[in-house]
Amino acid sequence: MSNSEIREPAVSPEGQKEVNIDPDIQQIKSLSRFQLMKRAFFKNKLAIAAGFVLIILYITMVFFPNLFSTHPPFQQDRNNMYAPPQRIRFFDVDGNFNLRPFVYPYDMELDFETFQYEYTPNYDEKKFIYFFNRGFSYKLGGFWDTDIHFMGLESEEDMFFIFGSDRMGRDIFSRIVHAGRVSLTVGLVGVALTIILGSFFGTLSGYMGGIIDQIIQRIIEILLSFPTIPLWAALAAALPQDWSSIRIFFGISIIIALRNWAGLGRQVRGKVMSFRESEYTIAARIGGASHLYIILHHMIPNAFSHIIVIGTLSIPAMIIAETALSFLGLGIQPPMVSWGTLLEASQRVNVVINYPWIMIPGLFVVIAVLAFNFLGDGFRDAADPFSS
Amino acid sequence: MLSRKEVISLLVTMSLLVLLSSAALAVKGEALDTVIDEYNQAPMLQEMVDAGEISDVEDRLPKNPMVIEPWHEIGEYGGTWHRFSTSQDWIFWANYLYDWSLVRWTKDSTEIAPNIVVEWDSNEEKTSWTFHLREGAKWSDGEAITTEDIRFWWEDMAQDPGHAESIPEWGRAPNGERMELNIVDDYTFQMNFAVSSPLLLERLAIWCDGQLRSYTIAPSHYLKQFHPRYSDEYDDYVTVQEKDNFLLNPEVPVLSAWMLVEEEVGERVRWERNPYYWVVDTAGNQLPYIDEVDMRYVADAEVMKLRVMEGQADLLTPARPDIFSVRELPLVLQSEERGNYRTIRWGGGSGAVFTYYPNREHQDPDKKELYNTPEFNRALSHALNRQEMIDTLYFGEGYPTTGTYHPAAIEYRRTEEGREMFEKWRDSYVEYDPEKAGSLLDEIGVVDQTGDGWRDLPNGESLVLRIDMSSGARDEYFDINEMTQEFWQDVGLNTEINTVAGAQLGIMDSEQTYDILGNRGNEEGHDNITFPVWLAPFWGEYWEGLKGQYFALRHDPDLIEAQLDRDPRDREPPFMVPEPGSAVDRLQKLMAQAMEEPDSYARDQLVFDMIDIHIEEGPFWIGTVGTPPASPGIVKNNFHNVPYAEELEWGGRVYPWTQSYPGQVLPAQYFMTEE
Repeated sequence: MSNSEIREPAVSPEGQKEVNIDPDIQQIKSLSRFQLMKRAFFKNKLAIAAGFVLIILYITMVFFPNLFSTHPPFQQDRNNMYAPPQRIRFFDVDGNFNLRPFVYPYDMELDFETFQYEYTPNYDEKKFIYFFNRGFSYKLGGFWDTDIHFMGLESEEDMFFIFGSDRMGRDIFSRIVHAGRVSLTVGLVGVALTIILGSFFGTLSGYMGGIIDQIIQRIIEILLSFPTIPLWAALAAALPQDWSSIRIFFGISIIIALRNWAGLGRQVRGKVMSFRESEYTIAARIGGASHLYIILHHMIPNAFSHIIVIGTLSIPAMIIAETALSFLGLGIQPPMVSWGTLLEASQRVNVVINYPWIMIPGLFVVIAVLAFNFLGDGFRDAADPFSS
Repeated sequence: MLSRKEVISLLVTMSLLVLLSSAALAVKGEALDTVIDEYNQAPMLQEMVDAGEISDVEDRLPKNPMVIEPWHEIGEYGGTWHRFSTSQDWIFWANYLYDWSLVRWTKDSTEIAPNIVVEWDSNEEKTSWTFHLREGAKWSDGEAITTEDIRFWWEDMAQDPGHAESIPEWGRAPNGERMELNIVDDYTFQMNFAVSSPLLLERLAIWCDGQLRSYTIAPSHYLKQFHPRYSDEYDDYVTVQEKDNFLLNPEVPVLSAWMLVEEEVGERVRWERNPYYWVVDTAGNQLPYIDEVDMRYVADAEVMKLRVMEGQADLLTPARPDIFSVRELPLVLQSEERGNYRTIRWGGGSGAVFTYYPNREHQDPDKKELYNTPEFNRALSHALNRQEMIDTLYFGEGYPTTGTYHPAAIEYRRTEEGREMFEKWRDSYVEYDPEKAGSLLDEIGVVDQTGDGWRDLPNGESLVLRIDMSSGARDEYFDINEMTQEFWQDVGLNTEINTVAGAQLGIMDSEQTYDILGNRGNEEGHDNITFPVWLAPFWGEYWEGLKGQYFALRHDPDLIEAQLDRDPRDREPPFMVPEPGSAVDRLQKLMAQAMEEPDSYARDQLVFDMIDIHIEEGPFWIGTVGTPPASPGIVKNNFHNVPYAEELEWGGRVYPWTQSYPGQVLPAQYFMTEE
């Protein structure tokens, strides 16, 4: 038995026989694995762009939503209900250029024939937009009391609507920013759990094999065979009904993760199974390493790049899942805002026909999901730098 | 000496004469009795008569059918009325079938008219009521309607402990004792009460009997087949209970204009005219005009809106069902041409469309004390900018109110004093005055002690007001709660909105574990006292519901006695005894007294005494907007005889389920023409 398992050393003499080596290839061989990955990643321009977009989204929405939102998400201007997006201008109606951008405030009138609100810009009044000016107070990053905002009008009472306003005169832009905090983090919490569960059970299943593998694989098959939306709906309905929105929010990310780890688990198992049969594992085993040592030093590090890729690619699935659940009214409940609840408010015939700007949050879901997918693509290229 | 019966028939003849002579003056849509020589019937029934399947129209109609004058014109027979529903139990449809109630509301619930009962009388003490059924009226299978159908309901359904049907309010005297039913002959019966029951007629008229509430009359000849007392085949009540559901069982004979013919569960349901319907128009045409009602289930309200806008629904009655919100009026208006319909807007009929109930039976003793402090509730009321709510949510229609019954309530109209009481109550603590709210809060020690910018409890602990609402509530409710949150925060009260599932909220309501209930208005009420839940705790919900439950149990002192040593919320059902001398105690005593006061003026006085307590020691709950518009409806241009708001006495009173809209405005006389 021992004879058959002894193989030639990893560095084969064949390599040395080659004389005419392409200098480029030689250079590549001298690079470390990490450098190779970096190189492969930076080749994917789309992934870099996506990375930038995500960094911007996370900085503005998750870390400093109050700094970047122009108004508190619940502030209502009931003289500006269903106001269309306001144009930010540099040129006034007379064609004069202003270095400082400004908006024309709306005059609202209710038309008692159609019961529509009519908005006409008041061209006599310019509301200038100031950068890093003072507005409503909040805690920056959760610690510093401040009232500095990235942009805003001179007076905190005046509202302006880059993306228009909703049925209570709330600023859609500010709501999107605050909703992003929920929607972009529900993905992370859920993905973290997915990775932990998926890599743990996947490794266990692939490495141990036998009856444990059988049990785990059958569980995964059962999980994967459920149709997702009804399953989430049932689980979301099973959450205690007196929970607050925040707890429901975490409950939902856990629920989503509880199903999503199955896919990752299966892939990790496949990887681990192939690593288990590789020379270095056998060497380690012969060398007397414990199972735990082998798992921690050989299995997981080898599968890690794969886990990262799957993790990145499952964040958008999480965002979509949260949005879908909230859209169906099963997830996060208003008045708490998430992209899902904002979209829920836009699934009205009335909005589609008369107030289409209320659907803008959908655009952000698309942007975030695409960005994560492109980034995941980039990671996938990087994780396997040797392929083509 | 004339016998009692002769006196009655004499009176009837006289009143018939009076009615005949005044027929020209009859109010549109009102049910009136008149004599007609010749009756006509629908072509589809004529065919059945010719084929020998049913007898001719004269034999099918009672001796004196109910005669109604159509709203606009005498109609034509035929057509299928297409409807959509987002609810699979078709419960809204029951509101269209107001034929099961013995008597019915007319003129926007300001008057009571005959229905299947044609005449009634009572002794002076109002302890004994005599009713006379419409002679010769028949169930939809051709069997005669007799007092046996009343007796069967009372003895074999309501009073039978095995049957799920419970004893309704009109089955008890105001002191809780059961009535005694006395069958005089095939068409005459008496309801006798231990104490005076002056509100019996109103009790019989509210709600559409049957699926919405209890019956008073049931098809005994059909149900006896399944009733264990009459049939050896059945020893439980499951079958008989299933069989008497006229919304689900096509076999059960009905009293209504249409009868169920076919249901494809979860898809659609079809109703066809009842050949024995006992109502005719003033030209002698047997109603209904419309042959068939076809209702389809639509899962999504938005899909339903699109269908309505494309003209696929023939009639969408305002608020029944509530498909478009008030603020979606522009959407409805802008598709009028495309959908070939006109928009109808009726009044909502709520005394206060949205009401806040601070939990006065709070489990937290600090909050309980606070919510029982009049100054605190007054501060909450003064902090609300109600006019802004009206402008924002109801296009400026409605008035600010601290919460009363509808201005049409009889007590407010009977005397000048009533009008003044209404106005005084409506205007108490209603003006928007945040400074006054602030000083009232300062006065009772609700000030910011911790320095976080929010007012705290007098003992220094932090105070958070939590508005509990249902996650499935209409947009309007979310909007109004968010406005209230802002107004209360403006006076320094930290307020949050908590959404819970509707079923959970129901439990919180009946166990009184909510903090501030923000999920409903006070809507019911053609008067203050027939359904007095807002005037005083009357049953196990709304304000001080545990004490209301105690009031509801007053006819069962043993049950109360046996549980007094338990925690109020552990009792079965949960109840609480009011403290002697407290506002609730005094209100409940006045309420009990008023409910058995036979003289209407004296009864009004007792109601005013109760309103006085509300003004002096209240508000006990905080109303917002009075008589807002109902959500808009549509009528196809080829669909006729649907009244405009201006034709209705009070512009329509759609939301209250007690007013039986649109059953009250007579769907049987709607008719359709070619498009």
